[in-house]
Amino acid sequence: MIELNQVVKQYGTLVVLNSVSLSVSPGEWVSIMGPSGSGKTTLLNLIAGLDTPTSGQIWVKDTEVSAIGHEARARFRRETIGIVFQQFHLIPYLTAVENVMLAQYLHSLPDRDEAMAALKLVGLDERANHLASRLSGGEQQRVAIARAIINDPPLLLADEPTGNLDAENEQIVLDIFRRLHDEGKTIVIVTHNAEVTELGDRTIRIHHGKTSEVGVVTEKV
Amino acid sequence: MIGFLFRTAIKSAFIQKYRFVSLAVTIAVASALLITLATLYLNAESQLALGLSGIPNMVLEPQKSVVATSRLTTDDVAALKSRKHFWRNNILNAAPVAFAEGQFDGKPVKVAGTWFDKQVSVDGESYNLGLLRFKGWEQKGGPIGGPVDRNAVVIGANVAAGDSVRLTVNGTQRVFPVARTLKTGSYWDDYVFLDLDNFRELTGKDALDQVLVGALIKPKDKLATRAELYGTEGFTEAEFQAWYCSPYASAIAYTIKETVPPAEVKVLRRVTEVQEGIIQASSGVFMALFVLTLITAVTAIFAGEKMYASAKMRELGIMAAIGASRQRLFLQLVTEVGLASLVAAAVAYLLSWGLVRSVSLSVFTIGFQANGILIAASALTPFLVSLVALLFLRKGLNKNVVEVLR
Amino acid sequence: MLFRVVSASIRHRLGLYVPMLITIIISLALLGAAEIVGVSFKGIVNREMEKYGANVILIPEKGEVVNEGVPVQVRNTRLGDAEVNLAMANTGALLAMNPGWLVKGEGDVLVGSSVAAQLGLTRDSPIEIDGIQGKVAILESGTEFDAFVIVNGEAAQPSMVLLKTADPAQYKGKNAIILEEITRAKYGFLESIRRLMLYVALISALSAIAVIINLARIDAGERQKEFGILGALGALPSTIARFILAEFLLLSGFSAVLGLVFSMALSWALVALTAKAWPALSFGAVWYVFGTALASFVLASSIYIMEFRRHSIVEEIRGE
Repeated sequence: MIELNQVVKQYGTLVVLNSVSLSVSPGEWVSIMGPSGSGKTTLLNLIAGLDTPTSGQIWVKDTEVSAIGHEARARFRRETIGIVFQQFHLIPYLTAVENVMLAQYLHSLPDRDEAMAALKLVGLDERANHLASRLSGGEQQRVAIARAIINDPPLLLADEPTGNLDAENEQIVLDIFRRLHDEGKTIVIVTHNAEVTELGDRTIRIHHGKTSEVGVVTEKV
Repeated sequence: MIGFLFRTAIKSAFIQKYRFVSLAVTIAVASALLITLATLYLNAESQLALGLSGIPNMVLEPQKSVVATSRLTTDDVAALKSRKHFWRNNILNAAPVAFAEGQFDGKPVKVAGTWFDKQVSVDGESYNLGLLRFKGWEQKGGPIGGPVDRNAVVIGANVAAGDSVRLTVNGTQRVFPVARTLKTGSYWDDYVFLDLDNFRELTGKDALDQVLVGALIKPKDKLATRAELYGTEGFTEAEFQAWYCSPYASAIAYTIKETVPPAEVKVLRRVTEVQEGIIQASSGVFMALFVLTLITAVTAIFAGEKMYASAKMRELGIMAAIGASRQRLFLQLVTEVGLASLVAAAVAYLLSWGLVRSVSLSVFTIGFQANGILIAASALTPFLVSLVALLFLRKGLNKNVVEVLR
Repeated sequence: MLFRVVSASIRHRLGLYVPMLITIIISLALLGAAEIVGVSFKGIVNREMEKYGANVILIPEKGEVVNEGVPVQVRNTRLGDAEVNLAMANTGALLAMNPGWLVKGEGDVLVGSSVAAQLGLTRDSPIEIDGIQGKVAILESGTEFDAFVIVNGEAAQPSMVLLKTADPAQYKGKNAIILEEITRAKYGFLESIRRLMLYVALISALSAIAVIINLARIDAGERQKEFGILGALGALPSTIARFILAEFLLLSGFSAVLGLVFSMALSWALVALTAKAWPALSFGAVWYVFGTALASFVLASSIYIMEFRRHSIVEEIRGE
């Protein structure tokens, strides 16, 4: 599903990712761990096509994300991936269901029933008509997940999805990810949280821009 | 405390330099708009009135009665600008005229003796008066105020002549070069004008037949209309003073009569009525436009400041969260907006200085100077508006901190 | 969906948009009013020019019949011991043609002010001239007629015909005196007014644009974040541009319509109350108001779009 080959990302003289290579199989759950500033989010942004590498290749499904232009990357994001951010990044003045429908609109056509179904899946159908800015952190993250999965992407990328949540909401969100994984979604999660890594198939550690324990498979709990 | 306040305000301005610059630019543009247009409006009425008063609107003639006809002299013309004439400053121009019949190319022609452009000293002041100083008349052959040969003639537009005129007056024939052609749009287009001294030499006629006067007048109101219809006899002392001390055409004619008793003062009503009507209409419009400009400028400043403060709500929320009082937040905003106003006032001053000059030159062909009081007022306006804008924002500051930070 | 997102965005930004819209609408109103007032002024000046009265004095050739204007027959006669100029004309038509003339008194015989002063005649005193009896009304016209006594009657053999015409030039070459002394002053005046109004309009447009740029800068942080989110969800730059344009078109349409309505109201108030004339909506005003509104908001959207293109999505999403 994902192939990274000698990927380097540099901001000026600062090397954030230094010759990273990795591979993720379809249906796999990979957790990326590392201290702050190690390059985890940059790696996720590169896979998502939000940013481009300084050198190296990135393949996702059949697309060489590192070689395509702006518009093609936008199309790739619409069709192939769903992204969940630590800061949720919902449009604050749209309701929960409208935030989900917005992703549909950008993909094809908005369908309220489908959007409601996605919200039901994350247990938020009763809060569908509340403004995003009025929802709690946990609720906002669930809306963000509903938005990420509404177009049924094969790959789900999440950047610290539980980083801003309390224990209860963290469990709810992780349950949703677990279900999605069970349904066959490929999931890449950047996290600090050991509990999250335990849910994954394997964990990649990243330190000073280098992936060190690539291929280490953790025991599933 | 105050030092820290300024430090944070300056730091905030530097960090959010684009926002700060945008606010300062809005305030500067709005203030410059106010200074420029207000200066223009304040001067427009008098400038347009001056533009309309470039032609004679009164004529002095010797007073006739059954027994005798009085005599007008050039001293009477000078007297119009003398200190004994109350409305001397509103007399823009005056020209003596004496008539004669002449012949040109074997045909009769109307001849008039006058001053072309004569420097006259009255009460220690020097004025240029004469036919060619009526700025509303079109001159060909030289600019208004340019040198004119006194031994030449000025011909009306309907007089078909080349570079010179062979003129016969009183049996004497002389050739005069043509200095200017004058298009007045009235009777004068049929005349050949001689310098008064040359005219006297040719005709031997000393007395004047007319004095043309261009006066700057004020549109009449009810009081002036009463004076025109019924005279001032029925006026109370206060009414008379109010009428006398306003430059109505009738009041100026009255003071001219006081100054030059042998004259009958005729107000050229076809001219003054039009002048009054246009000045009246335009002055009202200018006043209204001034008020509108003031509203526009104040709203623009208000909007800029409100937008700036709205965008800072989150930052203020954070300050409130760490214990800042409402007064402290208010003070913070006032300092920042005040700082922007200060920068803007300086920019507005420079901007309006150039704008006022160039715009007034373009509109009235005269470079106005922005009024000092107006500049001071415009510089103060942003500060005052800032305070009002921020008072409105107090409501926002009263909001729950959590609400703001959400 | 586009409309839903755009309207929600506008609602969300009311705190920013309301003061901005008020300023823009007032600026547009001033701009439109300047144009309408500028155009109306010509009408006002022309109306005032009517007071100028007769602008052609035609001296008919012998036997020439003139079927227009007010014919006046002049002759000398005696009034008491004095010799006076008597003019016979339709006095009603004469006064209607010359609204600037001042008539003092209710009498039916118009005695020019010079004659009245010379002979000591006062208003409403009885008069008999050439067998015609009547009461004196003093005429102050500021013209040669001040030296006449004018009685109402038919001018069978007119010595002159007074005309008021929009095209006095047609009488050039005829035996006519053409009076247009204030015409040049009028054109100079109108030109000054036109320029003044142009500057009012230009400076108001500048003020509108300054406010909009202010908005674009102030709101840039939050906007960028939104654009970043849309970009992360796979929106093309063109889709984002569509969102921005739709929002600003809506705002510009709203401001333009209200600006035009206020322009009309303002110019009506300005012209009707101060100059007692009725302004008509000029095509220029519609054009300027809509043009400026559109141009200002397109400028604002361009700033947003350029900002969006300048940053990467990662920066956008952080709101940098």
